[in-house]
Amino acid sequence: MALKIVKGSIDRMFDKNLQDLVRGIRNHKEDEAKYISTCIDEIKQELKQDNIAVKANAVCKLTYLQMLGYDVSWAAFNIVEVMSSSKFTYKRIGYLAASQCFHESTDVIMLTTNQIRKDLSSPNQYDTGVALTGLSCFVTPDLARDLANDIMTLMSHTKPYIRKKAVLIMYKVFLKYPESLRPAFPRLKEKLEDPDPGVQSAAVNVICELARRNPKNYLSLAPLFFKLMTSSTNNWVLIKIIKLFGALTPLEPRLGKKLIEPLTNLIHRALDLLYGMVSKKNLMEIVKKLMLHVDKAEGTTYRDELLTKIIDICSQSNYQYITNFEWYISILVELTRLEGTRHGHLIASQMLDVAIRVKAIRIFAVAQMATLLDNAHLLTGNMQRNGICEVLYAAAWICGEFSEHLENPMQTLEAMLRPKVATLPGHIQAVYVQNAAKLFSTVLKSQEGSTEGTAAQETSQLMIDRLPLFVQSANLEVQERASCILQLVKYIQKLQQKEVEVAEEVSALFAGELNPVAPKAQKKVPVPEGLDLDAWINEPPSESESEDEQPKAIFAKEEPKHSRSRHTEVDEKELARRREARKQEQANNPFYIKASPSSQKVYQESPGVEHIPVVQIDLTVPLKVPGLPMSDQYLKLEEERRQKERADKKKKEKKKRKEKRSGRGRRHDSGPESEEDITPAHMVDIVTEEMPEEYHLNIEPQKSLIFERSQK
Amino acid sequence: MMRFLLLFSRQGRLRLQKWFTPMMDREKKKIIRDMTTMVLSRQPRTCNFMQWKDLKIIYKRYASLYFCLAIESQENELLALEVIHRYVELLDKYFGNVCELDIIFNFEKAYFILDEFLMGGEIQETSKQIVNRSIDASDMLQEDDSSEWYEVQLFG
Repeated sequence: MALKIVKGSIDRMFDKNLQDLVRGIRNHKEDEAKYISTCIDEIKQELKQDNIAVKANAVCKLTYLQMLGYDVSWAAFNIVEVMSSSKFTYKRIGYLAASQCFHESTDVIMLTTNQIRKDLSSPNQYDTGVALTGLSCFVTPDLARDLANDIMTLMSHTKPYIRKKAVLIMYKVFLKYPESLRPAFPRLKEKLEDPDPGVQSAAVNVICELARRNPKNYLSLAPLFFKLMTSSTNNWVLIKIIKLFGALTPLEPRLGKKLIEPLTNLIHRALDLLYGMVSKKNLMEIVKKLMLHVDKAEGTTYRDELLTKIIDICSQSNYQYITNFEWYISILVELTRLEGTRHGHLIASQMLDVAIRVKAIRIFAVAQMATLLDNAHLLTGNMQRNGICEVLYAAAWICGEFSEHLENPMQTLEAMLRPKVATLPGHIQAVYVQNAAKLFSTVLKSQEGSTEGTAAQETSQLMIDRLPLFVQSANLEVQERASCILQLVKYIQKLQQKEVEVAEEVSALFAGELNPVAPKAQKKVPVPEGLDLDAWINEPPSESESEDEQPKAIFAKEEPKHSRSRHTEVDEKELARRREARKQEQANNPFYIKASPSSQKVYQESPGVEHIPVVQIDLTVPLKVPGLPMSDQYLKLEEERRQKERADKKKKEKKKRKEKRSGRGRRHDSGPESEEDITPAHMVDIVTEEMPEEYHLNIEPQKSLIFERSQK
Repeated sequence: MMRFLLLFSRQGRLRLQKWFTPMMDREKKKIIRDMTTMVLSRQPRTCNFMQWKDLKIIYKRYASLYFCLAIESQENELLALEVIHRYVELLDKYFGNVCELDIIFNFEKAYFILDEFLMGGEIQETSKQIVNRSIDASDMLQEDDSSEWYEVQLFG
């Protein structure tokens, strides 16, 4: 007898465990089927043994074989035996095997009911856990019916680990046995406010899933979910709740209204994320997506937000992420076609900024601006301040300043002097007039050189004909500029009639390049000696006088109070007015570079907001102004360019890779392109900002004023 | 709700299969065949999301393994990608720089980890620490068990 046991033990030592089995299969690649059938025979022998450890080992191997595609349903009873072991290790293996191969028509499933019930009430939480997890895979209607009560009690278990699993499995139980929902529902609702976050999210999950199938019954829970949404920081939960609201909102319109606020917050958080996400590679794609949204969000503040965002992310860090400025300008021009936006001045300032600082792009920019001016009648609809007509301001200035790049300056000049221009806001007209003068000088220069002597005189006549309209403008600035220039042109005409070459002198009027001034330049200007900014210029008014002047009147006591309160009131009003005036001035000044936006508050990640459907939309034909390219072309061009670069690089890399062949542990993909790989479409030479002469940039590196892009 | 999760190698050998709804073996085999052919025939830079019958299939390749997750149509695909990635992170934490061989030789451990992370087709626990803690605790229990087993063997 003893010998038999010893022999048995020795046999057991030669049993293959899982590792041996796997290794064996890998070593027998040619005759795998034969090897495996031998193994299965061995397993059948092992299953006949009494020893539960041996059985568990066998079942483990069977699970592996099942994964390879072999049928193991004949061992179902043995699996149940292993499940009933008291040792956690074997129980685990048993439940694993069961979850892999049990299904509704497995006959031994009924035998498991009691075993599972026992495990569910086990003192060891991991026993219960493993039973719950396994059950979730093979629960049948019968099992559900029998075990529903036990699981419900478990929802109030002391350990959150168990509560969480119990809550989750209730969903499966409800699916198989719907009658269990009614008694369990109150408990489920309680779990929504469970102190443990895991249990809470499990409850949210279950209720969300249930509510999606039958939204009406769960409408009463909406306030509770609303509270959860605003207070939760767990993103997975947030996503689920938002999805739930997506299902509930069609039934309850008031809910929709109430949701707008938190959802817009979420969208803002997502948009803010864009700041960090932007890189050279994805900027164009991101902006394209945002433009789609902008087109969809007609006439809302959301659209303006998007617009601001687009411009912000593009102009970050001195346009660090833009590889193709032509694309950016075309984006800006597309944005101008939007109606009803309040950010015309923002677009205008961007255009100016780009045109001034990026020399290489000036030709393109000027061409675009000329087209804009020609088609200005499409844009003059919006009369509000900061409306889109602000863009014309930028267009006129750019055409004037860089008029040497214009293809047809005469045409642009005529466009600027059209009578309709007089309907534009005053400050824009002023710019038009000034720049018309600049253009005039360029036109003269080109015309005087040619043999057509009369062309120059015709130009002067044109100016003389059109300017009087502006001289009569109600706006002081326009009036002043127009009359100055009109006189100048009349004088020039007289000289022309005397056949004097005037062009050189006229262009001398506008010679010299205007460069952007750094925002901190003023501070760096050294204060000249002998100047004391704090000293009074005149003598301060003496205190005694003001006191004497108090009028002796009936209301003597009240008056001081009045004057005092009025005084403070006036101060505040005055301050506000001054602030406004300063802002206006800054906005209108093309040489004022605005400081970079204040650092954004750090928001948590908010991955994707579901209710914004990403859908292919048929864009209703956007205002197609002839001559203006669509920014999509650039996107495609950029893609092709990068493809080509990548293809060239791959050829080089393939040679390198053949030498290095690494084995395990390499997890990454073909390797993302690094930022440095992307060469910009033009070599960008951004104009340096002006600083006071004695001041060298090298002394104090200032991050926000990086100019010169390193050439790669 | 998630319907199933499959892991298979580039040669089409199945390394892990998790079914969140009970199914007949025949069905399972067919699904495995379909998935492997569909996913393995995809070009490298194509989208990770596919439509199959009434389900959405999300797959991602990590070194030599393809992780393939099927979700119902109302679910969010990006979330599914996150789920896959989270599972890989959990495996990585447990095995230390996980590779396909780890999963081949310790497939039951991979299942146990998955059982702590997902259950019934839903995310069970979003905190990595808690999942790791449960797995470690269960492993400790197993160690206690195995020492006893040895004694039983010797003394009958």
